[in-house]
Amino acid sequence: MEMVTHDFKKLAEEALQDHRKAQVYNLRLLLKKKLAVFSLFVLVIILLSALLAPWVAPYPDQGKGAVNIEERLQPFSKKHLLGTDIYGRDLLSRVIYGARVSVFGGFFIVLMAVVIGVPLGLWAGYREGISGAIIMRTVELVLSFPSALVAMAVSIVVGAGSMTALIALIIPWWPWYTRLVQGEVLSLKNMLYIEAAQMLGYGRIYIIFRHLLPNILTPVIVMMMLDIGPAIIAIGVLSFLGLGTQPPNADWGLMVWEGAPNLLGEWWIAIVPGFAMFMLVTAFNVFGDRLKEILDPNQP
Amino acid sequence: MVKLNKCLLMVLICVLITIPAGAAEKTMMFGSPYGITTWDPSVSYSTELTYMANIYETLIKVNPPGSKELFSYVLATGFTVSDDGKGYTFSLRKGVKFHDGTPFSAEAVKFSLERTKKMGKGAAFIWADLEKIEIIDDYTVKLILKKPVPLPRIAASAYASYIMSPSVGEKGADWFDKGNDAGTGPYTIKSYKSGESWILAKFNDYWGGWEGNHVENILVKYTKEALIQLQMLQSGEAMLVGRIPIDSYSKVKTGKNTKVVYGPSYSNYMAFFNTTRPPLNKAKVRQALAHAMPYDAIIKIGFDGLGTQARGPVPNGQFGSSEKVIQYEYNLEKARKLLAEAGFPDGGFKLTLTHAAENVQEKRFAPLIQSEFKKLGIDVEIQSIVWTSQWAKAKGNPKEAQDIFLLLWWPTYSDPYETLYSLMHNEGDKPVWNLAYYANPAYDNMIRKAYEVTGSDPDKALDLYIQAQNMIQKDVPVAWLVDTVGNWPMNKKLKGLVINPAYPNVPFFYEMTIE
Amino acid sequence: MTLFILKRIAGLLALLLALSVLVFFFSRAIPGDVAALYVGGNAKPEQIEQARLELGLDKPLYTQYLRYMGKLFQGDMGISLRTHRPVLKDLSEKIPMSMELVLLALVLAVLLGIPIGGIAAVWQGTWVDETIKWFSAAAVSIPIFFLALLLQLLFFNFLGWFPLQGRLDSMLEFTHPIELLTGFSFVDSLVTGNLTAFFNVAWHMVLPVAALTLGPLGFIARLTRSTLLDVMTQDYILAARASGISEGVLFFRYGLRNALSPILTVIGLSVALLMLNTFFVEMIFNWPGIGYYALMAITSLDFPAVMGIAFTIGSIYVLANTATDIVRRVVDPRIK
Repeated sequence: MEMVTHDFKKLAEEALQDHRKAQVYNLRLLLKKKLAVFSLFVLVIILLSALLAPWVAPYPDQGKGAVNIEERLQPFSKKHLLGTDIYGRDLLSRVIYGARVSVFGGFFIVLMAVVIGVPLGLWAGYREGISGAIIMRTVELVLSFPSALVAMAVSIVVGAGSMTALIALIIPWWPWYTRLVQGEVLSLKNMLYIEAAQMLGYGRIYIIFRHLLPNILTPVIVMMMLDIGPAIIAIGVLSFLGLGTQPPNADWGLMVWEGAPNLLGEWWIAIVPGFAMFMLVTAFNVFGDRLKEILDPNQP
Repeated sequence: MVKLNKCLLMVLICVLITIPAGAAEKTMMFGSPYGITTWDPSVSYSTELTYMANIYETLIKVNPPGSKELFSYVLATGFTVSDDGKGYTFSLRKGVKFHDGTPFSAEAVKFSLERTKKMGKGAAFIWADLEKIEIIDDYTVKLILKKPVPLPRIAASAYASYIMSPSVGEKGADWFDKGNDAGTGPYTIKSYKSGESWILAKFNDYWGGWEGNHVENILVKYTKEALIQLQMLQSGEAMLVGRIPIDSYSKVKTGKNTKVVYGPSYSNYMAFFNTTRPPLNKAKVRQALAHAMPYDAIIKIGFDGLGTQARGPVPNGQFGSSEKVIQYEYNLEKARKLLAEAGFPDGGFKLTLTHAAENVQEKRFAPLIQSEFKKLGIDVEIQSIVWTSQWAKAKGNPKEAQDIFLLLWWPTYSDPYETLYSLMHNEGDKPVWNLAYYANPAYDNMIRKAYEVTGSDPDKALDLYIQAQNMIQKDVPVAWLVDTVGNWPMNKKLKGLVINPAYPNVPFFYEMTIE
Repeated sequence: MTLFILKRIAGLLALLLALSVLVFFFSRAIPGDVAALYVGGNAKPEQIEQARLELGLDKPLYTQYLRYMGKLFQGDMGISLRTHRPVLKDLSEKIPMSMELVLLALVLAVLLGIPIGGIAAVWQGTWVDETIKWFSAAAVSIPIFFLALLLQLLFFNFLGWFPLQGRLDSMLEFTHPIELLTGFSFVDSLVTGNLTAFFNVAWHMVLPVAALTLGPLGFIARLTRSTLLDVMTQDYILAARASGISEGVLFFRYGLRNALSPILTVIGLSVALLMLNTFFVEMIFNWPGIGYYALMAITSLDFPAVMGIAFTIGSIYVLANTATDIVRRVVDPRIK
C-alpha cells in the first residue's frame, strides 16, 4: 500500500516538473519571431522612459505641467522634438510623463483584477458549493453590464480623479479573471494527480497553491498580458472624458482631449499622445499574442 | 409645424438660395452654439436670448456704449417720470402688429409684464419693485413703482421685459416650446427642430418695414463644437458663427473670406475666495493671491489676447465702472512678501479651485493660475465640474466647499446694482451668488442707496458705487480677472452687425445685410 | 433546451430589474442640483424649491423609484429637461441614427473579418498570416477617439475627400430634410426619393463607419483565425481527412460550422464594444445619435434622459448577451 501512494506522489511531482521545463523551452521560442522582439523592444523603451521620466524627459517641469507661454503651439523642431501644446509645454516630455500614468495605471488595474479575481476563481472552482455559486452569480451580474459605462458611472458619482478612475475600472475588470480561473480549475480538478493528492490527505489550501495554481498561471498570465492594452485604453477613455487624470498632470487621454480643438491647425497636440497610446497598446498585444502562441497553443 | 408650410418653406428657401449672385442675398446660415432652454418670453433667461431679441421687442432699448443717446425707443416712443420717481408714463408706438395679427396697445404691455411677474420664473425678479400698471389709454401706459428704482434700464433688460400678444392668454411655456411665438419683432419662428436647427423668417408686417436689404431668413444650425463652427465658416456654409477654437482667431481674422467683428461685452470672469476657510480667511493672504494672478497670461491664453484686466465687479464700460476703483497688479514679489507677512513665507498649503467644465476659457486659463501659485509654494488642485454641480457644491456648506470658485458673470439689465448686489451682499449660510461667503453690511447699505439715487442723481450714484467697490477691494473677497471683449466670427460679406453689450450674444439680424 | 431558454429569460428579467434600480440610484447620486438646473439661469431659491416639488424630488427615494417604474411600464420615461420632449420620443428618434452606424460597421466587420481571419488560418505561418496578425493586433489597439480624430485629420484636413462632421451638409438639412419614417436616414432618404440627401448621408457616413468598423474587424479576424486553427487540428477533422473528404468540404462544412460558436460570442462582444465606441464617434463626428444625446444629457444633468438612456442601453446590452447565449446553445449544444 505505502509503496503505491509514494509512487503516485512522485509521479505527480515529476509530471509537474516536466511541464515546467517545457514552459521554459517554449519561452526561448518567443524571441525567434522578429515582430515579437521588436514589440518587446518598444515595450522596454517605453517602460524605462516612464520609470526614469525625470531623467529622460528633456523638459521635466513641463512634463509635470509647468507652463511655457512664449513657445506655444510650435510644430516639430529641434528644440521640441514633438512640438509644444497650447501652454507651450514640450510634448515629448508630456508623453513620457503620460506614459507613467498609462503604463502603471494599466499594470495596476490588471494586477488588482488578478489579486481580487484569481483567488475568488480558485475558491469558486475548487470549493463550488454555495460560496462558489454566490461568487459566480456576482461575476455574471457584473459582466452583464457594459463595463465602460459602469466605470464612467462610478467616476461621475465619486468625482473625477486618476485614483478614482483606476478603482472604478477594477470593478468591471476582476470578474474576467474569476471566470477564467474557475473554468480552468473545474477542468483541472478532475485530473489524476489532484485526486491523488486529496487521497494522500493534503489540505485544500495546499492543493490549491501547490498544484492548481501553477497550472492556471499560464492562461492567467496570457490574459494579463493581453489585458494591459485594453486597460491602458480604458484609462485613456476616462481621461478623454475628463473623468480621469486632472490637469495639469500629463495623461495621454487627457492630452488628446486638450488637443482636439486645435485639430485643424496644430494637429500634433492631439495626434502625438494618441499615437503613443496606439503604439504601446499594439506592442503589448503583439507581444501578448506571441506569448500566447508559445505558452498556450491549445487555447483559442 | 404643418407639413404644407414646411414644403412651401423649402421651396421658398430653394428659390431664395438660387437667386443669382447679382441680387443681394437675404438668407443666411448661422452656426450657433446658443441653444434654446425655453421659447417662453416671460421665462426665458438663457442662451435663447440670441433669437428672442430678434423675435420680441421691449418698450425701450439700451444703446451700445459710445452712442449719443443712452436709450432708443422701440415699442415706446417716449416717457415721463413723476416727481417722486415712482411713476413712469410711457407713450406707445402706433401701427405695430404682433405676429399673429393682433394690434399692439397698452393692454399688451399690461398683460405681458403682469404675466411675467406672476409666473415668477427666469428673470422676473427685476420687476420686484413694480407696484401696478395703469392703462391710461390705448397708447399710454403708466408703471407705478414701490420705490424710485431706475425703471428705464429695467424695461430695457435683455430678459423678462418682452411684450407679447394678449392672445397668449392662459397658454403656458409648453405652447411656446413647440415653436410658437407671439412677438412684434422683425422675425418669427418658422420651424423648430429641438436641439438641431430652427429657422427665423421675416415677419412681413414688421413696423420697421423691409425697405433695403435686411437679412430676411436665418437658418440656425445648432452645434456646440467650436471646431465644427470653424469649419462651417471656412467652407462658406455659414455666414455667421458663435464660437471658434480660441487659437483659430488669428487665422479667421485675416482669412480670405472671413473676418471677426469685435465689440464691448459686459461679461467678466472672477475668482471667489472662500473667506470662511483658512488660510483664505486672512485678508492678507487674499491680497497676496490677487497679486499672484497672471492676468496677462490669462487674457492671452484664455481669450487670444482679447480682454482687459478687470477692476471690480462692474465691467469696463458699464455705468458704475471707473478708473478710481482699486486694481491689484500682477506682482509675484509683492505676493511673496504679503504671504510671508501673513505667516506663510513658503506657501505650504493646498487650495481647491473649481470651474465649470463646459467653459472653455476657464478650462484653458485655470492651469495658469495653478502654475503661478506653485511658484509661491501653493498647491492648487483644479476640479473641472459641470456648472450645475460646481454651483451646487459651492452653495453647500462653506466649510466644505471649494477654496477658489471661477465664475463667468453677466448682468441681466444694464445697471450695476444687480451685479453688485447679487455677487457680494450678505447671504449668510445659504448663498446664491455670494460664493466668497462675504458679509459687509456697510457695503450692502451703500449700494442700495446708490441704486435708489441713480434715477435722480447719477453722479452721486456713481460716486457711491465707486466707494462701495473700493470697500470690497480692500478685503479682496474676490479676484476680478478679466473683462471680456465680445466677438463674432463671420463671412466678409455679412455687414451691419454691431455688438451691444447689454444684449449679450445677440446679433440683431434686422440691422444686417449680405453683400 | 426549453428549460435553458426559460432560465435565461428569467435571469434576463432579474438583470433588467437590477439594472433599473442601479440606474435610478445612480442618476440620483450624480452630484448637482437637478431642480436648480431645471429652473435654469440665475435661479432664485424659491423657484428652485418650486421646481423640486414639481419634479417630485421631495418624496423619499423608493417612492420616486416606484413612480418611475410605474410610468416606465406604461412607456413613459418622463420628459427630458433639456429638449422638453418625452424621453421615449427622443430615444426613438436617436437610437435608429446610431444603429445605422453600428449595424453597418458590424456587417462590414463580419463580412471582412471572417474571410481575413480565414485567409490567415489557411496560410498559417506565411508572411500573409504574419501581416494579417499584425494588422489585426493594431486594429484592436487603436483607441477609438484617436482613430476618429486621425481619420478627420487625414481624410478631411489633408486630403479633403470626406466631410468633417455631421450627417448632412447643414444647408441640405433645410432644403432637403429627410422625412422621418424608420429613423434610418439611409433608408428614409432612399424610400422618399430624396436622392440628394441619400448620397450626402452616404458620403458623411464613410469616416464614422470606418472608425467603428476597424476594432471589431480586427477582433473578429483574430478570433476567426485562431478558432479555425483550433478546430482544423481537432481529431475528428484529421479522421475525416483520412477517410478522403476534400479540403474544401472539410473547411466549409466542418471547420467553419464548429468555429461558429465562439465567433458568435465575439460578435456579441463586438456589439457591446461598438455601442461604447459609438459614443465617441458621435461626439467627434457630431452624428446626431444616441451617443451624442447621452453626452448632452449627462453634461446638462438631464436626469430623466440619463435614466432613459442608461436603462435602454443597459437593456440592449443585457438582451444582446442573453440572445447570444441562447443562439450559441442552439448552434452548439455542447456549451454548458
